[in-house]
Amino acid sequence: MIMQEIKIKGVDEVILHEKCDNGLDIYMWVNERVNNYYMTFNVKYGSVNTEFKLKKDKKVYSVPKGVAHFLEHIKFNLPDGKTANDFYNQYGISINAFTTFDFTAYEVFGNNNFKEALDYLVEYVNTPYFTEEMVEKEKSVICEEIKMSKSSPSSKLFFGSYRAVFHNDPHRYIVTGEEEDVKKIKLKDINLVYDNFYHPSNSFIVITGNFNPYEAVAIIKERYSKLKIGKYSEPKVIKPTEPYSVAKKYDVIKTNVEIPKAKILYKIKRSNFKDFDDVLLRIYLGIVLRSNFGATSDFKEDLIEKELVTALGYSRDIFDDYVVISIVVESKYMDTVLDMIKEKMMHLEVDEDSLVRRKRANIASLIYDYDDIEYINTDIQDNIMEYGYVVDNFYEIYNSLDMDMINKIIKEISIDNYSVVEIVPNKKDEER
Amino acid sequence: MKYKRYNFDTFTVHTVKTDKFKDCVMEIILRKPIKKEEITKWNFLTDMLTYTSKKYPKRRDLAIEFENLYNTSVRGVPSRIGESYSLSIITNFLNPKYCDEGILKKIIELPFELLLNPNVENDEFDIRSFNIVKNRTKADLESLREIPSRYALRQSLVKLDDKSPVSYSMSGYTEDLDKITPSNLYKIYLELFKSFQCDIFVVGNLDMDEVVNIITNKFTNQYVKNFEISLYSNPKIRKRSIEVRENGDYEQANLVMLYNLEDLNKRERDIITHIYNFILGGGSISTKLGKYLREDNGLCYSTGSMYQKYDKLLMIYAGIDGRNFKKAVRLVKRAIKDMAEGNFSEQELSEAKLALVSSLRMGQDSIGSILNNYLFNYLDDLPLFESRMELIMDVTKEEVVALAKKVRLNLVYLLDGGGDDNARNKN
Repeated sequence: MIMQEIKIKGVDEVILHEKCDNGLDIYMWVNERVNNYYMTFNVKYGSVNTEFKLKKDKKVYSVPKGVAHFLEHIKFNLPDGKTANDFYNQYGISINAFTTFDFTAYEVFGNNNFKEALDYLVEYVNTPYFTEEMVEKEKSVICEEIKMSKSSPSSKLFFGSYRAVFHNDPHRYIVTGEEEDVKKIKLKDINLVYDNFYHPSNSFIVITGNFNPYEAVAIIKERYSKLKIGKYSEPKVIKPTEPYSVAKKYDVIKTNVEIPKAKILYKIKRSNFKDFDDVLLRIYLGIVLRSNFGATSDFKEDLIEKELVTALGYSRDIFDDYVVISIVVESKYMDTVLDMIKEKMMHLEVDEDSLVRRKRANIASLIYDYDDIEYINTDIQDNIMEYGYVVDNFYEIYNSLDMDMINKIIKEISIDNYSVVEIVPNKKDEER
Repeated sequence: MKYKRYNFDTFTVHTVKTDKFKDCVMEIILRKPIKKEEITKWNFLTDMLTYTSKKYPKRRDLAIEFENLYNTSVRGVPSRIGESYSLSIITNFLNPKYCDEGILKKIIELPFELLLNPNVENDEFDIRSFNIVKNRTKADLESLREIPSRYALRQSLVKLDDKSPVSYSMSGYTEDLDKITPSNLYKIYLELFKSFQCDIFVVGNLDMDEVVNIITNKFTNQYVKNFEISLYSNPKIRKRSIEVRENGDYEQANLVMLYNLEDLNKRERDIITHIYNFILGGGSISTKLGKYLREDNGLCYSTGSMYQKYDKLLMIYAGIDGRNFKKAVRLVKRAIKDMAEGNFSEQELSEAKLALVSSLRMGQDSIGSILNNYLFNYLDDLPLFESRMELIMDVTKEEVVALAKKVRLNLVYLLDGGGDDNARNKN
């Protein structure tokens, strides 16, 4: 068996890749210094994929919001009345699963019985067994999960801010769906999604830790040879057209928060950054934002010193045609602070020293990261979902970062199209 | 993995040499008996000492130094173990073999530089940093209610026994914060090394003699402090349990049930209670609590139990709809009763043992867990990873049942979700 070796430059590490005949991709990073292994079975189906067309009839199918997450919850059930937990418990192996906007992952974390653990992961994810009763029973559990998440102000701000930025893009909806969405989910929705998206051609496995990669590939192939896998229906996800404007210039959410929080989100056309691929764009934007709003920025120091903020953070995300830059703040003087942030966004800057330090810090992180099998597994997942491949040249990229590109990217950050979302205490109801 | 202890008059250095990791950690641990009225001031001082210093007068200066030292981080973490207060200064750093020559000395010296040369002028802490830290602490104290599950756990402990250290808020108290000034904080600082016992743990692939040499050259602690620190707290025991309900402004109600664990012997404390807890609610959703509350009755998404060894407590929590309060309590009691009556199978016992052994093996891959492994062996004579694994595998069902009979309900606490549901609940 000859596998593709992806040599991670500058850190002396290798990620192995095997493409199976059934379309499945397997990525593996072996670390013989540790006891554990961490494996994830990833299906490229997340909460945003609620409308799609099938090749066979060209019809548009739509499912209620929250189906991806719902399916993940009930996927643990098996035809013999047992659950995947029952199987893994006998070896003391931990399992879990999670759903994101873009994909669903089934996780196994252990340090013994590798063969059984991997074989069963492939088997149980590829064994559909859903019933009406199961679907009805799970609804109350998921509704409690939604309530739990809504009790957290930061989670409310996270989802509330995408609701303000996007008109149609499904990132505006929470991953679990709202309670009313969950109540609408039927067995046929689950089956429709499973039958069309849970296919090896639409999945990839990532294994990190201490294991034999050749044995791992053999186990996976052997298990698939015993499973009945139909032809891939090649569903085409329909992405609604998203206009440039933000859906809401301003929104306020009242909740159980003590100190007001806010997010200002700049929606920028992806096409502004033509000279940057997604990898470079994320890195350069990260440096610009850290230099201007992070721990090493004068601006943050100044806001904290003047007691105007108690927390200030930033993020940047790429959504197909748009890039969203978010600045999140916790403050009792919100109007003043938001004005200062807007002003700062007009005068972004990065100095040469700061770039040199970031290069060094990023390279150090790259080395650190290869101590952590969970982190590397997640990193591979993100690489596949964001770029479609494992990025092997971060080291070279960090070393070649230059001021011209920094200045170019700053020039392309347009600041005229933004939303502000505030989280304020419930009691403000009466005060306002 | 090689553990070595270096005893000095005023502090002890413990080193664990391992080639498992590319990163390293050094933790300076200062410990003393806990006093409620002192928590805020020591927390505040920890924050100040790791925020700026004489050499790094602005936070930005320190953040830049961290980047220069290949993403080194230094943070202060206050915590409570039973009746002891612990103040840790944790430094995480990349193994120097990946960095510039001579960097080890700079990194090891950094936390001592912060501790020994604070941002003080004329016997007062720098007012600028002082105000920033005070403002931030105040905000943290004001935000305590924002996460209902965390708030419910805290409140339940206050209702359990407001005199016991278990009820102390490790975030501190607003009334104590208001008393702190830049000048009295300096007086507090002068008491720091006189008041605490000091241990330093270092884990990584380093020349430990060299590390110790750097420490002893830089760290000139002159105060010998060797006192008895009781690790275990003894919260109130109730013959008849009480029920407390409070209203909150949340989407979901939070149930907490607290059980006393009394008269446990060492084997029960170190090993058997962990197995009991795993079967009851510490493990996956297949535990008794997961099965009864979530799988069979769909009452919640999140439920489980936690063993608080040094508080002699077992804590059970569930995020529920307030209307299901009585049913949830009944199901928790049923799970507890099942355990005491031995209504769990040999298979459940065996699975719990394997899972706990597996989690200890996982701990061997984590630099923080390795540090804690030696720390608690030193503090509490807790058997090291390998011995603990053997002890776990020897546990019998009879031992778990005997332990289960010592679990006694003390308090049922509900932080209600508010709104209409709450009103219905009262009627």
